[in-house]
Amino acid sequence: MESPAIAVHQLRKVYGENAAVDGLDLVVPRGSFFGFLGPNGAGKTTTIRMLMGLAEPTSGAIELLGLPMPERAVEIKSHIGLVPDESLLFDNLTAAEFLEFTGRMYRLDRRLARERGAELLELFELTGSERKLIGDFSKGMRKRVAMAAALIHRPDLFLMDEPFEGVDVVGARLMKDLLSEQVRRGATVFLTSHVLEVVERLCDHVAIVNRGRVVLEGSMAELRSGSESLEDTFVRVVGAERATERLEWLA
Amino acid sequence: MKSAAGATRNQVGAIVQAYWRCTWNRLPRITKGNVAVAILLGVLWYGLFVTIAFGAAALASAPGSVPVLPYVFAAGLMIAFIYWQVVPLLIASTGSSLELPKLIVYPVPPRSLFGIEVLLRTSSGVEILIVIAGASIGCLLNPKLPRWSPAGFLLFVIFNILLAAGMRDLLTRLLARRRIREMAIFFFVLMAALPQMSVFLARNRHLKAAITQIPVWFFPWTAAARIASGIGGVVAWIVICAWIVAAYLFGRWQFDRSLREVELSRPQLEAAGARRTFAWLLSWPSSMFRDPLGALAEKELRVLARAPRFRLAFIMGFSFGLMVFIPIAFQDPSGSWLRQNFLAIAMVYAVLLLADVLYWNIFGVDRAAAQSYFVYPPPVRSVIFAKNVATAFFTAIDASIVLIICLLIRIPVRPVQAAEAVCICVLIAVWLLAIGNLVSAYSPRAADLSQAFRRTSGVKVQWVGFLGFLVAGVPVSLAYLARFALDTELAFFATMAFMLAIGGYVWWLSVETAARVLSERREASLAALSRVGTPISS
Repeated sequence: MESPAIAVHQLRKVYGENAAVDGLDLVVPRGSFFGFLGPNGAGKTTTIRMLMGLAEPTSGAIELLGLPMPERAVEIKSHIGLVPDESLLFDNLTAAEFLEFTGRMYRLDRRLARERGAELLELFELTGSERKLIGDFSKGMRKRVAMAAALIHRPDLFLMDEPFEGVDVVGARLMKDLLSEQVRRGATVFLTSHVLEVVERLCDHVAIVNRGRVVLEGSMAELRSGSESLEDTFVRVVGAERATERLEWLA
Repeated sequence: MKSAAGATRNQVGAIVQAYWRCTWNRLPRITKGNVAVAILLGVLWYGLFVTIAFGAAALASAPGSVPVLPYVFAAGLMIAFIYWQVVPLLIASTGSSLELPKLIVYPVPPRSLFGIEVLLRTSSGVEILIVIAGASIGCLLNPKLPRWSPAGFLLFVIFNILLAAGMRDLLTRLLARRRIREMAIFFFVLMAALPQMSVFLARNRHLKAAITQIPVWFFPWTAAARIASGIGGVVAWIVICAWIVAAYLFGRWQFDRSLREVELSRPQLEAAGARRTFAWLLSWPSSMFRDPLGALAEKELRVLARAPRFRLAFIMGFSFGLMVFIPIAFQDPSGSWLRQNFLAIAMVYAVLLLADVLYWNIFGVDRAAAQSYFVYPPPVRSVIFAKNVATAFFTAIDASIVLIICLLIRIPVRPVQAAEAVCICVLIAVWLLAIGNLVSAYSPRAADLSQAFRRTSGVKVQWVGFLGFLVAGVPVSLAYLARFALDTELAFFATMAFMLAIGGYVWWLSVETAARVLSERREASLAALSRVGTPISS
């Protein structure tokens, strides 16, 4: 039987006295489009950082593509495409330079990295901005660059933190189509997003995390079996159903 | 795809190339004047060491100097060791290093990253490398020395960069942790000042005896010097190789630990802790100044108090200065200049350490807030004024702590000495504020205050600091000159008062000028402050 793309067991991450992730269990099947949802501060970003190798778990086990993390980190990383938050981009490189850099870091030779970089720039409609530094890009353009960098080595697993944040409609559509295509070829996509409509339309599996633990997990079909929308389900399971108090001075 | 070795070389090449591209891409944004100044300062600074290198080469190549070479080389290499390992600690700067949080996501074997990191340690000792290169060429030219003699220098350099890599990782990691950072600082302060303190106190004879009885051949600089002088012997080779192995194991161990502990969110948590500790102490500006100045100054105090870089500079300001200068001063005769002025020196040293964070780059230290200065209603002038208030406050606290510690440990301080030291400190601070405002407005640069140690050791930064202190030191020098010429304390204090009045006016002009420059160049300034992100930070 093929190992899952992501298998997380009793994952914990404690900062001082606060557990950002508190005994998280998760299994993401290969070839799935997995939505990892939760309110702000639920532990999504910490979890994805641990999966990316940016943070070391306090306890628990992580397996990616059947390999233990961090023991086989180098091997695992070569099969992963990342769309992290913006902090991992290099502001003083142009998009073409950054894509070439990323390709070479993923062990493509220089010529191939440059070729693929040029093709990806064209695909993401960044060809008019060759001389522009990433630092001068808008938020949406930066996301496009990050997405292009994630694709350059044709990874088997995509880890994405809010990939559609700040991206315009055309860019978002392109990214969605590309990701769906990747899933069709057998890759796995694991993404966090606050845009539930996007998750509802793209993802076939969803997990909702709250206070560092998974509070609901299942296929999209299972979640849709009731009358509730994903938004209703989300609000119900994270316990956020309360009337908004009105501020008198704001009236 | 490539073979494993080829792929790793490709990755290392990509990191280095990306670094150079980042540096190159920044160039068009730097004005011609800045480039010219940077080149001039670079020529002056490195020219100095090239001159020393020529001297070293001349000495090493002279056949007649062979008998003294073991002693000269040993002393020189010990100074090189101190420059490489201790000076970065003294000036809270560690040179260029890999941006691990940006690189750790890629499939690069840790040993490759370690290799690059080790090579980057040369950035904190370029000057030493220049001098050692001169000495090595001299050895090669000396007909009385064997051809392999420069190997001693090579092995010494390898030892130093491996040790520097380990020390940097250890310090950076320790100082990133709020609860043990201050303890770690004091530990390293003690380590650095221990020899002087033991001599100064002269109480622990066993310790002194132990230090003096360490066999000379045991030290890496002695072993390297013996090899470089052509009288190596097996012991010298074994000793220096053993030091290299130990430094490698230490460096690798520390690097692996840093790699495991790379996390991006720690500063946020630190801020949460700091909020509780300093809340009551830092709210005074709001009760002293009307808003917006009160709010702006309070914000500055809070931001700085939570910044690891500032806290390190602040603590080192009063601790290191005293621990280093007091033993030196009190070894001198009672009437010596050093002994008479140790308090002023210790206070000025505290200001010097604070300058990088508080004076030279007032907008870079909280660069995330820079945009808001142009968006909020208060004029930029108020922002600069508030930043200066924060600077003055922390400088005064640091200098006061120096004075209080002196009184607590019963170091004889006469009232006139204390008054003189305080006046010098105030005068230098006022002039530095004026220069700093202008430098900050004309040349803002992004700084990362979450890093306890400054990573840059750029020539321009060093020279701006050096020239700034030189200019700020002129008024004080004039006061000393007045006292020397007229032989009266009154002349000294009168000149100080006059210079303070001029300094105050210059400071006021600097606030106005800096505000105007920032408003005129707001786009370029914001771009300079927002730009971060290279595989190697420098």
